[in-house]
Amino acid sequence: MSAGRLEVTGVSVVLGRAAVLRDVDLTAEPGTWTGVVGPNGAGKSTLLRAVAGLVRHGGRVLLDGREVARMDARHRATRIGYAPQVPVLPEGVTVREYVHLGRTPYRSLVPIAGLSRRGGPVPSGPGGAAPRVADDRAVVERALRRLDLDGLATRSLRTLSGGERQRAVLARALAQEPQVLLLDEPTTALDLGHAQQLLELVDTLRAEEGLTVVSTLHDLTLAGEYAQHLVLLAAGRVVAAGPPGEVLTEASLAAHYGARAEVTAGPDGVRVVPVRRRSAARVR
Amino acid sequence: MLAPGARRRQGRAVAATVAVLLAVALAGVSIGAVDLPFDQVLGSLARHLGLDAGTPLPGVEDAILVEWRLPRVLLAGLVGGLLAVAGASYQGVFRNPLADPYLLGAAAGAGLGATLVIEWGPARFGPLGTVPAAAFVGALVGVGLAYALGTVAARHGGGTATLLLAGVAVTAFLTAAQTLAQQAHSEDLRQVYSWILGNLGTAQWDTLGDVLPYAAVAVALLLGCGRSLDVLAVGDEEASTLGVRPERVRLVVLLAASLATASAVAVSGLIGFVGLVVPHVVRRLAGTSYRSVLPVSLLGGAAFMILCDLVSRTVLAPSELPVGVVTAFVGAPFFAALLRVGGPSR
Repeated sequence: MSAGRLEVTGVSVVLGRAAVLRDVDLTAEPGTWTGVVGPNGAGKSTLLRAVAGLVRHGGRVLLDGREVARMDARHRATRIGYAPQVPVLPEGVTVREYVHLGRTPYRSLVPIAGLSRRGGPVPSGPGGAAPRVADDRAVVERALRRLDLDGLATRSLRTLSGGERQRAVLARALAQEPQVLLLDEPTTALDLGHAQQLLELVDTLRAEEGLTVVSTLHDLTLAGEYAQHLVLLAAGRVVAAGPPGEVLTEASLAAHYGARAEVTAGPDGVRVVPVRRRSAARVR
Repeated sequence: MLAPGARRRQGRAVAATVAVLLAVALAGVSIGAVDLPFDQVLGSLARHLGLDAGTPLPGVEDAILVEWRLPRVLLAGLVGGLLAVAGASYQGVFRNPLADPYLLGAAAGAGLGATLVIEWGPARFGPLGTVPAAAFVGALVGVGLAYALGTVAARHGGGTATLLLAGVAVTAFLTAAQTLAQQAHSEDLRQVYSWILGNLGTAQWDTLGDVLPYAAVAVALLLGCGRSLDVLAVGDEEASTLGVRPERVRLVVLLAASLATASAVAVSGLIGFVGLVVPHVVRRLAGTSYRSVLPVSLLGGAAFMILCDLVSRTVLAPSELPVGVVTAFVGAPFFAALLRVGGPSR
């Protein structure tokens, strides 16, 4: 199996007349976590969507040297898993059925009949041999276990809490058995505790499965603690890239976020603490 | 991929629906102006299938069964199944629980297409005939108009209901055009209304043969799209990250569902609400996966329509009510209930 090295060079995206991304470069090594940060409207989500092959873009996105935009949609789905910021949760679907959707790229979409007990074999795929229904089940059950969803497998998706939903979406992406995991603001709907639990889980998956994780994160402290590599976008351009300590500086936050913040080094990375001018003045 | 529990549920739903369908069909061929005893009906059917079991019907009654009742019941079943499976497919492809061939303008478009060819064109039924082709084009035009209008309206703020409103407008217009076309030529006003309101009274074995090829193609395509429609439920964007091409699925399903609608309309006129009522009931029984909803809707739609047809020809006997009136009596309150439960507001 290939490694999952992502190489983005000179990617530009124009939506309508607005240039949303301009000449963006990014390299993500296999098994690393790259955080995409930046102020609102900087183009973070668009960058992720471009990598996922969801928006037309200039420049190139290479996965292990192959251009993602030219990949067959199904093949791409076996290599890249994508969890959107606001996932669409279909009605009346159980968690297990939802996670099974992650097996779609491995299944025949046109079974002999709607009632057929098993779909046909996969005509194309990177692994060569076509996985069987039993393998699908095993992968799904494993994804459910990994995300601690076994107890919720038969629950209707819509009845889950925010954190459980995010885990279900992640399990679906994991069931694709991808090498690259793209997460768009995975912690948006979560409180601090659930956000940390989810990111810990992603980090474990990254370490154990060797996944290349690229995520947008609006919380800079979480970004600074979980990502090994950060890309700071502002107005569609990369304005800083590197280890969190180099990217998240008081100067860069002031320049690109218009924010006043203190940046301190912690044991797991960098912490960003917003500072209100009035109280800061009183202290000093 | 259906989870094991869902598969058992699907199996039970299919078995139950088949049982209901067979019971309703037996009632459909037995009950009417001349009531035929069930056991002799079964005996006759067995005899015609080359089996020797039970007592067959006497000559005249056997002829009633074979020449009148059977083709009518089979056609009703076919039309009902087509409309129901088309409705379920439209619902999946538009992600709109209120979509229905009748409410979307597809049925009215098919009616207009068929009428234009019957009145002015070289009208030929049967495989490769002009009438089914014109109905098909008309159905596509109807859905296309509703979809285009609905999309434009949705940009000005509007939810699920917008597509339906557009469909209602398109249906009203196309039905008016169809009435105009038919009035311009028709000598028999009653027949006009009868056709518009849905009519299975002219069913013959030939009629059945005319639509069967189209119906078979449409149903085969739609049943094959169940898995894709399940994936499409997570939205176009996520579906495409799962390896499905939403535009392609949508195109195939729209073409096939419109073909199904057109074949139904070409032989039966406009029959509303079947595509709305049946899939909703089916979802309650068989779950929401389109791999269950589509086949069970096909069977359930057939049973529903045979029953409605039975009511339509017995309730005012000896005169006959257009079957569309019966489906509307059932369907319109059902539609209202769905609105109340909050179908479109989600």
